[in-house]
Amino acid sequence: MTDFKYPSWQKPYQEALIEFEPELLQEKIEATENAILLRFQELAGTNGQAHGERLALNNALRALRALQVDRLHYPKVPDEYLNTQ
Amino acid sequence: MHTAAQQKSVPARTVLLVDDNSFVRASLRDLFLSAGFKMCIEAENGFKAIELAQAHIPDLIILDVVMPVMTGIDAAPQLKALLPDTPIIIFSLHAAFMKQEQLTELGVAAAFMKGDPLDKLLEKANELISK
Repeated sequence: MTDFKYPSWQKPYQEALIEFEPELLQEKIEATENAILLRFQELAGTNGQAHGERLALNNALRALRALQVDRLHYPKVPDEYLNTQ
Repeated sequence: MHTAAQQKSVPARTVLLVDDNSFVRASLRDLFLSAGFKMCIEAENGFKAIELAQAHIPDLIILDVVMPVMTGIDAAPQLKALLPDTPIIIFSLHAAFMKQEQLTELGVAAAFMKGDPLDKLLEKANELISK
C-alpha cells in the first residue's frame, strides 16, 4: 500500500500511470486531471504557498501529457506552449 | 459570396466548448447556460471544433490545448481564419505558461487556467462578446 503525500490527486495519478488499456487510461487521465484541477482551485487561495505541491502538480501534468502522446496517440503540443521547466 | 462570419444575422449567444474532458465541458456548459447563453455546442478535439464552428457560427469559442486528433494550438489559427470576429479563449491547465505574443500569434483573445475562478472567465467572455 502506497502512502501518498497528496492523496487527493496522487492516487488517481498513480492509477493512470499503471493503466495500459486505452479506454480505461483515458478515463483515469480524465479523473486525474479533474483531481488536479480541484487541487489548483483549492491552492488558488493560498497566496503562493504550497510551492512543493504546485511543482509536483506541474510535474504530474507533464507526465500525463506524455502518457496521452505515447499511449493514446494525442498530437504533441510544441514545448514552447507548455511548461517545460 | 459571404464568409461564414458575415452570414450570421441573429446575435444569438452561442458558445463552442472544445475540451476532451467531459467533466470540464459539463462545468462550462452549466456556467454559460446559467449566464444566459442560448446554446452550447461541444467538441472533444480541434478537428471536430472546426467542423462545428463552420456549421453553427458560435459567438465565442472556449478552447483547450491538449486534445486528441488536433490540439488547440493547431485549431486556434484555423478557427480564427474561419470566424475572424469570434473571440477565442484558451482554457487549459497549461494556460499559465503561455505568453501573450503566442496568444496573439494564434489569434487567441485571452487565456485562463482551469483552476482560475470561473466568474473571471465569464466576465472576460462577456467583455469580448460585447466588443
